[in-house]
Amino acid sequence: MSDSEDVTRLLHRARGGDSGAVHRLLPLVYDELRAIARRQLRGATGGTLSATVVVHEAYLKIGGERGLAARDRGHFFAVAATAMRQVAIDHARERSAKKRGGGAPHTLLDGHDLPVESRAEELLVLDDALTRLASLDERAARVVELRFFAGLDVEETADALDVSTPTVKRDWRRARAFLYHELGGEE
Amino acid sequence: MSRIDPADWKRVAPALDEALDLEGAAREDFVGRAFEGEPRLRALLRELIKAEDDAGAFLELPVALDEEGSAEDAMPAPEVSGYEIVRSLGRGGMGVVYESVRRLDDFEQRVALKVVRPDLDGEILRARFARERSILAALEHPNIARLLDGGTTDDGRSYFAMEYVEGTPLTRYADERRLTVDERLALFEQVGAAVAYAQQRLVVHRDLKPSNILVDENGRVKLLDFGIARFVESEGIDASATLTREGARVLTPEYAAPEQIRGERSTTATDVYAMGVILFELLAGRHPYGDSREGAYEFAYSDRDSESLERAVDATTGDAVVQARKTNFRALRRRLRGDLANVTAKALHRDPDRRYPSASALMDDLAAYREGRPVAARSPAWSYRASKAFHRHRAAFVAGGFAIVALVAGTVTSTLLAREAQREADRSERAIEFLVRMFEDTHPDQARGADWTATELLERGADRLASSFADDPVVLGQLERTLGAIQLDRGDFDGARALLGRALGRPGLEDPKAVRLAIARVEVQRNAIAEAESVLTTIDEATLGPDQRGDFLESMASLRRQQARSAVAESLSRVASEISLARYGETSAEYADDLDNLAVHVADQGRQAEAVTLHERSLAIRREVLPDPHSDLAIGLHNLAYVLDQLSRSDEAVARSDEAIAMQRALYPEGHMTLARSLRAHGQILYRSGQLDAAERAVEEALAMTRAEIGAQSKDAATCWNELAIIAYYRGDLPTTRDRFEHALELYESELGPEHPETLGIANNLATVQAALGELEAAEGTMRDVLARRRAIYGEGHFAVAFSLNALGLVVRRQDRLEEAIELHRGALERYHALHGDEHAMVATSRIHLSHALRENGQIDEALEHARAALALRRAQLPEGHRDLVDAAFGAGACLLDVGRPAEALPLLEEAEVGLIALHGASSDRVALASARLGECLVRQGRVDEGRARIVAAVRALEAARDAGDRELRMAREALDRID
Repeated sequence: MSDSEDVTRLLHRARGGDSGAVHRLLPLVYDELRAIARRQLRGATGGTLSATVVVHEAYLKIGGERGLAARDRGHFFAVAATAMRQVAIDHARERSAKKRGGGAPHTLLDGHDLPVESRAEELLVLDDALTRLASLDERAARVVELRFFAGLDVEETADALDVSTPTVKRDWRRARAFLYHELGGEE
Repeated sequence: MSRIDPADWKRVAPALDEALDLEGAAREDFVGRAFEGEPRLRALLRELIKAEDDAGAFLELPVALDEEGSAEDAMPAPEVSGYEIVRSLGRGGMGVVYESVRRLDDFEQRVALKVVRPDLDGEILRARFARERSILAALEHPNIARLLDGGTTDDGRSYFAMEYVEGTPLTRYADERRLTVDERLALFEQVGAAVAYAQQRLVVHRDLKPSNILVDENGRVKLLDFGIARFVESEGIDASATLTREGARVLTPEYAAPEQIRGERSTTATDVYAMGVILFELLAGRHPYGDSREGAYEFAYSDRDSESLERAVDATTGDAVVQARKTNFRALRRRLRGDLANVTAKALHRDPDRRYPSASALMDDLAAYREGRPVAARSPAWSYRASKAFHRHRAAFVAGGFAIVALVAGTVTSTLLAREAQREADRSERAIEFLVRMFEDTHPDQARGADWTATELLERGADRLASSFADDPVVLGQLERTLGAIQLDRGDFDGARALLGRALGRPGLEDPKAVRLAIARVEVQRNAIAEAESVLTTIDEATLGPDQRGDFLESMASLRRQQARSAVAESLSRVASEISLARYGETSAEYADDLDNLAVHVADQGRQAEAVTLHERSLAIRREVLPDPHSDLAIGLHNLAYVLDQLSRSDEAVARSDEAIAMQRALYPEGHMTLARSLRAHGQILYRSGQLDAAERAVEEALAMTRAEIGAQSKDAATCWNELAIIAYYRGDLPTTRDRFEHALELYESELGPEHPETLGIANNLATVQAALGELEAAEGTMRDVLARRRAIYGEGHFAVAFSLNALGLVVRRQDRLEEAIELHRGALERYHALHGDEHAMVATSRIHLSHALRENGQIDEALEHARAALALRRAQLPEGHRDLVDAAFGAGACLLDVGRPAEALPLLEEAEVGLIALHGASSDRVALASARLGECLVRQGRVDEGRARIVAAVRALEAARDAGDRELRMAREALDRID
């Protein structure tokens, strides 16, 4: 379990442009989110959880009562979105592996896709496409990450990325166009 | 719809934004006018607009996870004609796999039938499914599960049939049958064959792991599951150079390459990485980063190098691992060292460009290993670097130390050897990196969040090491030796001495002679000459090997040089160079090193011209044998520049020095003591050629770098202050000069002690400034003291004694004790002449000082003789306006004036005045005396008013600036008297 002081300190440094700090943040936040996700799934909310809730709970834990300073908060969510994306994929895969149980020792396939609601395959393909988008239009991809994987609304996203709300809206629109287009099929 | 090309996106995206801002007719208009003449882009724009319109609530709902199952279990078995479904084998994302029996006529075949899931969106899935099928169709290899058939089920779903493989996952197979290391390698060969084959067909698997690699009853390996494989897009050029643009999120991080985890591009090198992990597991029985997925993420996002096979078998390795390889602990450890570890490390390199580029490259190297041939994983430059002679001339003794590090920790060897040496960057920096990492490993709480500079690490590391390795004194000794070597390399001589001394006392130290040699070097560097000699005499020369003998001789040579017995030093150096010539040949770095050193000793004996030739020869060899940039090239250039400077060939010296500095900047972009020292030397050459501003910048930079690297309380910092003081002195800024010398002296006294020869040198400098500021008695006292000590340390004939004699002569002369001054300057001149011959700068300087004293004492003829000689020399060597040349001109001019030859004196005195004005400013009092004498000359030439005016002005200037009893003022007044 990560120490929330560490994360805060790393956030400060990441804000200062220390890319090493950003790198070290990711696994810490990832751990945090996973722990929270696991806890939630195990019981309280009846076995479902939403990414939004997970991310915000992680924020509370790390930011404490006073929360984080505005720019640190933005950074936190940015990192959290990336980590949450991974958690979502990992979690579902874990689950599908567990489901198969002891069963056949000589499986031909190891579960490598994940069902997410009924949009199993789409999430994987979406992930692909999102990565492609990132190489063409980085900020737009980040917007998607923040909104879809961390459940932030437009204002929060603008905060996290340090841009204006109209910019976020435009990025979002463009990203959706790209992604929906890409998901339409591949050669 | 095909994938969007990035160039297209760049152009269409802004138009898309604009179009989406509009509605209805306005939008249509805009689109209709967009991309005139480029129908393709306009079509793309339309498609994207349509996509956005159609998207509806796409992505609007954040992702949510569900713990309950989805309705997948209740999936009916499909009906596929020709196949009889036996049972379900498992479910993947795209489809379900069934064991089936295929019936064709009388022929029965067991197959694995993969069918698309019925509940998922058809369009996307069909495409992916089709791709997997086409990939499999392209592959036909005994080690790859074969595609047999494909089609559509009765209810319209896609399927394909694959060879049914009944087998055990690779690692489990090897363990269950207790395969030896060789047998495992043989098994791995099959894996390699499969992956290499697929890569030849431009397929990257991207999800290699033991569970995807089964071994059947017959011991045949079968590679499965090309589910996320990709074709590498080829565009008619080398396929491995173009990459898929996909970065599918990694699904099995334990086997994923770092670039995959980070979502970057996957290439054939990605598969190589996975193969590396599998090989590691197969051989060592565990995963490179323990068994955690977190380990894989950590690694991907950190800067660490991957773990080494050599470290994999250690105290924590269980019996099961050893027994599963049918061997014992020690044998296994021995087996997993050396080239096998190197090959694995190269496959596991975090940088995909540094791995094997393809599976077949990896397999080739493994084959080489098994056949006992040299492997590619060891780069040829390493063995060159490892050669001791390579470093001989440098004080740093690290070659031996590095081998020790490798033995101790393994990690360093693997990463270094597998890494291609592109530049001869400082190996101590890498060792420091390793140590930092090691430190972080052992003290993660202290390391995390801290910014370690090398200095801090070395300071704390030394202590921590002692406590961490208290139980293992052998290892501790080796680490101390390495740290000591690093500190020596970085110029921290005191630290190096301490650590190397400790290492010497540890048990089981390998090659203690080498450590003693290193200590001797340190002592030489610290000018602790007596200590150095005593250490060296404990080494029996007869018992040294040829390389060590060369080292030993070189150390002795450096030592002797310090004591100015340079003839001895020279012959010792010659022997050393003959050894290397015989051993390594003429075109070798070792021979070049020794030539360079020999040249230094030759120069010290005053044969500068010969030294230049030797230096140039050494440089030529180095240029041929070494890459550019290279630290030895830089050193060679510096050495040459130094001698050129001694010959007053300033322009050439500056040019060489510039080249050396540029090279070292390339080598040490972050700064380093070697660069700092070079900058200092460069500064010296610059100010001696008159470029004061550039010199000051260079030395200031050197000082800053020195402070950063080893701290402000260091001998090197003190030397920088000394140089800065000299520059200020040349500028004529005496107060600053004195401040800086005082600073330097303080540091020298505390670092080296008040009796140290170099401390004495600084004291002498300070005394000179004191004299310049008029504190003559104090200055004289200090100087006499210094002179006496130098005589005792160096003997009468030494240049340091000569220098002192000149300095004392100047002070004495200013107190009007002219005969004493003459004696002193004569003494200096004699010594310099004996040491350096006629052409040397110091000889000229001495002559000038002597000539001034003689002239002032009325011995004009002799004065003129010396002044002339000095002037000729200086004029040949120095640029116009150089202060030494100006001084010489003045001296000669004044002499000529005094013997009654004003016509000849005039141009010289004019030159002097002009020069001094350029140096000090028109209103400076330092110009005054020259002006006065020039005025006198003009009067003698009949230009009375002009001349007189000059003298009067000069007298006034001096009256204003100096005390009543000032000599120059008196001499200027005398000039006035003479013409009146």
